[in-house]
Amino acid sequence: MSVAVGDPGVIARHGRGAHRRRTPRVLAATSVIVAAALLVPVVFLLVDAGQVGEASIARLLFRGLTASLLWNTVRLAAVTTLLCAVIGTSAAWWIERTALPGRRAWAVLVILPAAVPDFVIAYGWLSAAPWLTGYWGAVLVMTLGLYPLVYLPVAASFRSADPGQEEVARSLGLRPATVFWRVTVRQARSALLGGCLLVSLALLAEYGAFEMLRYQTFTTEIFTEFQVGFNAPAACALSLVLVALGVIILGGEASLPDRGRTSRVGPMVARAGSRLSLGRATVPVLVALSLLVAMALGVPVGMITYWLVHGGVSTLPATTSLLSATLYTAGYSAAAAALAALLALPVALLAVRHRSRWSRVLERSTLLVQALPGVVVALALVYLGTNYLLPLYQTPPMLVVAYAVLFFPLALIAVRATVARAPVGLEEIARSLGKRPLRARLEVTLPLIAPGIAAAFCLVFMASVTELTATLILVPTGVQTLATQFWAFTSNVSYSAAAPYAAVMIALAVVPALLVGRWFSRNQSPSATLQP
Amino acid sequence: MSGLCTEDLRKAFGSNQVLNGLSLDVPPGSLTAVLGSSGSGKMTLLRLIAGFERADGGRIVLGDTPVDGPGCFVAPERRRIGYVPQDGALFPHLTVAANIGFGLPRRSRGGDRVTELCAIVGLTGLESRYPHELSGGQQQRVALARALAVKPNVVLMDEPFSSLDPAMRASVRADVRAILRSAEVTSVLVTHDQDEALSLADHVAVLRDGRIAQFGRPQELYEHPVDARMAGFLGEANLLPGVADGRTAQTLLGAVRLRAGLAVETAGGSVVVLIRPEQILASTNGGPGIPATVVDCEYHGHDTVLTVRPDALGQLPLRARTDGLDPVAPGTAVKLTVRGEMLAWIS
Repeated sequence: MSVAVGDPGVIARHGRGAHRRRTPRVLAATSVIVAAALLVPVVFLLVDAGQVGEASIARLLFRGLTASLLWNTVRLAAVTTLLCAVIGTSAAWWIERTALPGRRAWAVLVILPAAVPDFVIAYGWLSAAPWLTGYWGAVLVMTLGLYPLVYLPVAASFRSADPGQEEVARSLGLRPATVFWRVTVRQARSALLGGCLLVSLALLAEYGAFEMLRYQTFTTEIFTEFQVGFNAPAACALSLVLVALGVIILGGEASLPDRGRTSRVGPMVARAGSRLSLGRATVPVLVALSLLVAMALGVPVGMITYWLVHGGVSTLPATTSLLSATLYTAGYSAAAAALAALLALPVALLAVRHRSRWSRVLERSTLLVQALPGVVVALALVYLGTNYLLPLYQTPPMLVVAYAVLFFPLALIAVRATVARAPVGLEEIARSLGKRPLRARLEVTLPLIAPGIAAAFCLVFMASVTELTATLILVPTGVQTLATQFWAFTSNVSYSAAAPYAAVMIALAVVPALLVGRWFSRNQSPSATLQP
Repeated sequence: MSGLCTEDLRKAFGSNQVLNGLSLDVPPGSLTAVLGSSGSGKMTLLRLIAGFERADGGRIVLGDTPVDGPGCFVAPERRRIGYVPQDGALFPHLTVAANIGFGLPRRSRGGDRVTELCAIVGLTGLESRYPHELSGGQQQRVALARALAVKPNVVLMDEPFSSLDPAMRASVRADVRAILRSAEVTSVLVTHDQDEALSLADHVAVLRDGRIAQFGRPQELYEHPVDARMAGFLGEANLLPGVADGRTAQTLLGAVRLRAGLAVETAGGSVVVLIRPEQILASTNGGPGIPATVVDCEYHGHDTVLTVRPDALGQLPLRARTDGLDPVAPGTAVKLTVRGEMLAWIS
C-alpha cells in the first residue's frame, strides 16, 4: 500500500512556481529600451502640448466642435462595437460549434474582410451607393470591416473551450440556448472583451473611411486641422482628447475582473466537443453568413473588379507607378514587420518567463501604444522630426518606425502566445545535455516560438500595407505607396484609376491574413498544447 | 562511474529556507531515492545538483570534482548530468530519434547510438514519431534515453512515474530500474511515494525540514526508523504509549517484546512503541488475546487491512493487516495478539 503524500500535480505547480529565475540583465535592459522607444510618441505629444500652453489648449477644446466630435465618436463606437460583438460571436459559434455545412470555407471567407482596408470597403459601398454617407454609412462600413477582430479571438476560444463544461450544464438540465448564454459565452468572455477593445480602438483611429463617408470624428478633424489648416496646436489639443479616450477604453477593459480564465483540474484533454445540429435554422444561418460575406467582401471586391473592367484605357499609364507603389509598400511593410517582431521578442520573453510586478508594468506600458491612433503617432513623429531629427523627417526609416510602433501590440500578442508554450524547462534540459545557453535557446526555444514570430510578422505586414493615416503624413517625399496613391485618386473621384491600387493592396494583405488565420486556429486549439 | 556528494547545502527562496544544511552521499552506481513530502525541497535539491540553480551555501561534489560551492560553479552543460523531469519535457518539435540524439555531437546523431538507446528503452520502431504521438510511459522512456545518450555521470529523475497511471507505473518502474542497472549509472530519484522509494531504490534518503533525516537501505529504514515520526512516514504505524522495563514494555495491548539493543532498554520508563499493522493478529475464532471490534475493513485482494477498536480501551483505533482471504464485516468481534519484536523510543 502506498502512502501518497499530497497530490503530485500540486507539487509540480508548486515547485515550478517557487523557482523564480533571476532576470537576465541584457533581457531586462533591452525590454526597457523597447518600452521607452514605444512611449516616445506619448512623450512628444505631451511636450508639444506643453509648448502650445494650457490656456490655448483649453480654448481649443472648450468649444462646440469638441462636443459634437465627442458625440459623433462615442455614438459610433458604442453601436459599431455592439454590432461587431453580436456578428463576430454568432459567426464564430455557428462555424466552430454547430454542424454548419461548409464550415471550412466559411471560416476562411469570414476572416477575409480583415485584409480589406476599411477605406476600401467604404470606396466599394460608395461607388455602389453614393448616398450612403454619414452616421449609418459609417456604422455599416466599420461593422463590416471590423467584426473579424471579434470573430478571430472568439472563434479561437470556442475551439479550445472545454466541451465538458457544456456537457455538464446539459446534464444539469439546461436547454441548449441557456447553455450558450450561461456557459459558452462565459468561456469566451475574455476573448470577446479583447475583440471589442480592438474594435473600439480601431474606430478611434480610423481616418480614411470616415473622410470618404463624410462623417466627422476626432481623427478626421485632427487630420484636417494639421494637413489642411496647418493648425498644429489644434491638432495637438484634439489628440490629447483622442488619446484620453483610448486610455479610458484600455483601462476600462483592464479593470474588468478576468473571470474568463479557464481553470483546469486534470491534464489537458484534446477532445473536440460534439457539434450542435442546427436543424431548421440551417438555411437562415447560411443566408445570414452569405449576406455578411457578400456585404463585407463581395461589395468592395465586386466594385474593384467593376472599375478594373470598365476603367479600361485610363488605368493603363498607371502600370509603372503601380509597380513602384507596390514595391515601396511591400518594402516598408516588411521592414516594419521585421522590426516589430524583433522588438516584441525580448518583451515577450521577459513578460512570460520572468513574471514580476515590474515586468508586468513594462508589458502593460508597451500595450498602451494600442490607445495611440496612427494620426497621433504620426504627428508626434513629425514634431520629433521637425524639431530634433530633421535629417530623418519624411524618410523611409521614420515611416517604418511609425508602423512598428503602431502595430507593436499585434506583434507582442502573437510572440507572447508562443513563448508561453515554450517552457523554460526545455532549455534547462538542453543545457544538461551539454548545450551552451545560447545554443540551447537557438535549438529549442527558437523553433518553438518561430510560428509566433512569423505570425507577428504577418500581422504587422498586413496592418502596414493597409495603413493610410500615418502613411499620408509621414510618407517620404516623392514616394507614393499603394494606400496614398489610392487615396489621391479617390479624393479626385477617379474611382477607376484607384481600383488597381486597392486590388494590389488586398492581394498583398490577403496571404498573411490567411496565414494568421491558420496560425490562430492551430495555436489556440487544445491539440496544439505541448504536453499531451 | 562517479558518486555524488552534497555537503551542508543551503538554498532559500525569499524568506522560505528550502534546504537547510543538506548533506547526502550517493554511492557510485547506486539508485538512491530522495523521499519527501510536498514542498520538502526535493525538486530544489535536483535543480541544484543539475546546476539550474545555484546554492546559497554548501558544496556539491560530482565524483572528485566540486561543481558548486564557495567560489566555484560549473554550468549545467558541463556537468554531464542527465535530467529526467516529471513530465518528460520532450522537445515537442523533434522526433523521438532527434530527442534522444539531441545531446550527441552532430555526426553521431543519426548513428548507432540512437538506435541502440531506442532498443534499450524498448522503443524500436517509434524513432520517427513525435512526442504527442506517444503514451505517457513511452514519453518517460524517451526522456530517460535522451538523458542516457550522453553517457552522464549521474541521472536525476524528478517524480518520473507520478504522471503515469497505476497499471503502467509498475511496469515502467521495473523497466527503468533494469535500464539504469545495465547502464551502470549513478542515479537519484525524488519521489513523495514511500512505496516507490522502498521498492525501487538501493538507498533511500528521507528529506525533512530541509535536511536528510535518515539515509540507508530500504529495509534498514523500514525496520529502524530514527524516530516515531519517521516510522509513521515510512509505512503504516500504530504508535502506542507504554512503560518499558528491560526488553519488555507494557502497552494497551499487553506486554510486548522489544528489540535488542534499543536505547530504552537501559533507560526504561515511559516510551512510544511502534507496532506495524502486520504485527497485529486479529483472530475471528476466539482464543486468547485482547477483545476488540472491527470498525472497518479494507479489502485489497492480496491482503486485508482492518481497523479495530479494542473493547476495553475506549477510543483508540488500531490498524491490523491480515492475509485473510475473506473480508470481515464491521462489528465482528475479534481477539488481538501481537507477534515479533517491537521498536520503541523514549517519549
